[in-house]
Amino acid sequence: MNDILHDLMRDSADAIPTSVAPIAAITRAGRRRRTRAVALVAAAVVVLGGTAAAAVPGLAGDHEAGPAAPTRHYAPDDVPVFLPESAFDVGVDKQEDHASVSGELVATQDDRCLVVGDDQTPVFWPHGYEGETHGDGSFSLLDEQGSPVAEVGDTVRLTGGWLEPASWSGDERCIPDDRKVFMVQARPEVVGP
Amino acid sequence: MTHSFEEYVAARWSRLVRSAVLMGADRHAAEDLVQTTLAKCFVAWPRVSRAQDPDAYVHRVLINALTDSRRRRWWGETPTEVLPEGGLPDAADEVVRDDALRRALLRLTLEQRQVLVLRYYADLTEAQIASALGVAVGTVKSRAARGLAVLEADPSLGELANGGGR
Repeated sequence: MNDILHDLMRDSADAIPTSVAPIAAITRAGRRRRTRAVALVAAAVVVLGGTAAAAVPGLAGDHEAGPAAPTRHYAPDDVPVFLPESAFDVGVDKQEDHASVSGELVATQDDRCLVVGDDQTPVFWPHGYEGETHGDGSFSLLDEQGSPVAEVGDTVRLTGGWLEPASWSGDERCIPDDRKVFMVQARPEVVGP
Repeated sequence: MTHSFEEYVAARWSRLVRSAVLMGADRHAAEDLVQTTLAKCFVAWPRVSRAQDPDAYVHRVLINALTDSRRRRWWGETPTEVLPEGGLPDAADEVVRDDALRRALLRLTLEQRQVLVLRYYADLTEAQIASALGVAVGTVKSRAARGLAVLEADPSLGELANGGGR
């Protein structure tokens, strides 16, 4: 059946007419998305208890919105999870003029998103952060080096700033259009199991 | 191996559109969805192209786009029990065969259909499919097994598999 299905599917698909790849239109749309993402974030940042300039250095720089691509090798039962991430590495200290959010790390959307707290605050994770589910059902948050930072179920404290609701060009599945989003700018701290 | 974005689009456009059609989208919606998918990937292309598995990544973005699209739009999936009445000219055999396959696929759950299309049309490995769907490899295997069982029990597809539609 496998070989037959392979052939049937290929024959059926080959009969589906397609247009010529609209490469120019796609790249134009991609550039617009990138520009829009930068502009929206620059316009929408609200930093609680501080100034935008101090809290979000380099915001208008070369911004690559979108979920992370897997860059490492995984064990057979490990599945990389594409989390929405900002263009910024962790880098701020735990200064008083940054906002913070604390709560349990929660997996949503069939283990495709990591959010925080009872109200499931959506999060932009730092640049390079990924999730990873394991064969035993656990779900880890990994830093840009691939090292575990926290596990689903841990209580974490995040430091960074709030973004106003915005249409984002990354993984919208994890970022509702009508919610403020917390952008993490410091390495998350595990403060409890 | 890294590809330029333009090279990748040129090489994969048709296959991505056809994958979307086999998963249940109509052709025009499929082209729109693939265009949206690739525009999203363009934004992160420097990282995507260096990734261990760009195809799995792109398919994941496509599946997210398909899923989001399904929330907003009904694609008119109306599985039927019978194929069109006879009287078709001989040259229509291929049309019947293709139609039978697509109808059979539409009898599957979306999750089963996605797995089988990614496996048997997009030629992704089970690990790649797991990555694209965000599920464990074991889940891919079970969905594939259940989907194949449904297809094997489908009388019109079984006839084709036995050479009846060829």
